[in-house]
Amino acid sequence: MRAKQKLRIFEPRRHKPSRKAQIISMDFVMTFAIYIFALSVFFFALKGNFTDNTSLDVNAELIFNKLTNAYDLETDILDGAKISNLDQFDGEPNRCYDVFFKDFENPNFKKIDYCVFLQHDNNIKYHFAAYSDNFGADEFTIYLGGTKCGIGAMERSDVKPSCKAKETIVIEKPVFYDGQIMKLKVLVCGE
Amino acid sequence: MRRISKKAYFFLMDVIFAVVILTIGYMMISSNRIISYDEVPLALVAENTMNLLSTVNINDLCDDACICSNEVLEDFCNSGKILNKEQSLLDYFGEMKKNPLVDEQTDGERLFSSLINESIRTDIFNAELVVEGDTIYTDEGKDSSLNLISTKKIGFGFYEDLGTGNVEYWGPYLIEVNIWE
Repeated sequence: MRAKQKLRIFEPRRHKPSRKAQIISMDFVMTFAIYIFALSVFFFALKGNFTDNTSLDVNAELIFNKLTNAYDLETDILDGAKISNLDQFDGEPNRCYDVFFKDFENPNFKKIDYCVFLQHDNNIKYHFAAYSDNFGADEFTIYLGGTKCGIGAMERSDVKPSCKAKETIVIEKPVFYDGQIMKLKVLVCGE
Repeated sequence: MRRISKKAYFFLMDVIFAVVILTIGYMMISSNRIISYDEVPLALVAENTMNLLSTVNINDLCDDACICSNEVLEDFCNSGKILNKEQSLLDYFGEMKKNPLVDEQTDGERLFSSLINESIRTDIFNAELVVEGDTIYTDEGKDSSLNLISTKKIGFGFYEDLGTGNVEYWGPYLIEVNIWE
């Protein structure tokens, strides 16, 4: 009898978790799972928005906005959809810089080149602003049919704008210039 | 009054939290339009097209000798179909409704098609012109498009009847330009 009793004493004791603890731990696990699920759905929905920040869209839109919404009448080149007053930029690249590109930040790119031009079919009529982070240096990469994009009138047919950059974007707006409907285009090339 | 047990409070709170979280998740998935920039370029194209049509006058594109930069306009000008050159291109579509020399449907479609080809990327965007409820020009795929932006303006004006010398007023008409991808 005694031997049997001793054996019972050294048997491992089984602890049954209480119902309360079970409920709380199940609640915790379920809540955590639902919370993680909701978070993943939320960030999945936001994903596209975060990745867009590194593209050139914002820079292109900003430049376009500056071109179409002048802050004073002197530098206003668009009256409705009519282009005028372009002569002020002839031979004055610094004025272009002051009006359109000054204080322009582009933290996501080492260097961004811009070219603004007026195009009718494949004919470029005028290119009136160009800027790179290395303004005036040889590193400017935008060419309009063999000529660097710069400032001035240009009457050339079958010109295709090009640049050596990983990312490019063109945005355009139909305008009236020199008796014709043509497209005001902003080409942005980013490295 | 019976007191709710502590356990029941936990259950109740859990259920409320779970329902709120699941509802938010369901709304986000079902709406699928929380962040969408698709309409932005489309809206700009629609706005720019309307802006161009309403600010450029016919005499900007055609001189007194009816030499125009747009072939269709030149044809209309030479055949006497344009009675008031000082009005905008958009207004001319309104004038077409009353001008007896013009066939609103065929001439309107021809002119709008040529103007659209010059002003927007027709390989990406499609357009439609509706004047006072009548569809003058439309591209294909409007019904199946997910995004469509509509811009509207009221047009009214006048022209001189060359036969009688009377001034005829037209409008106001609702002129609508729809753009979709």
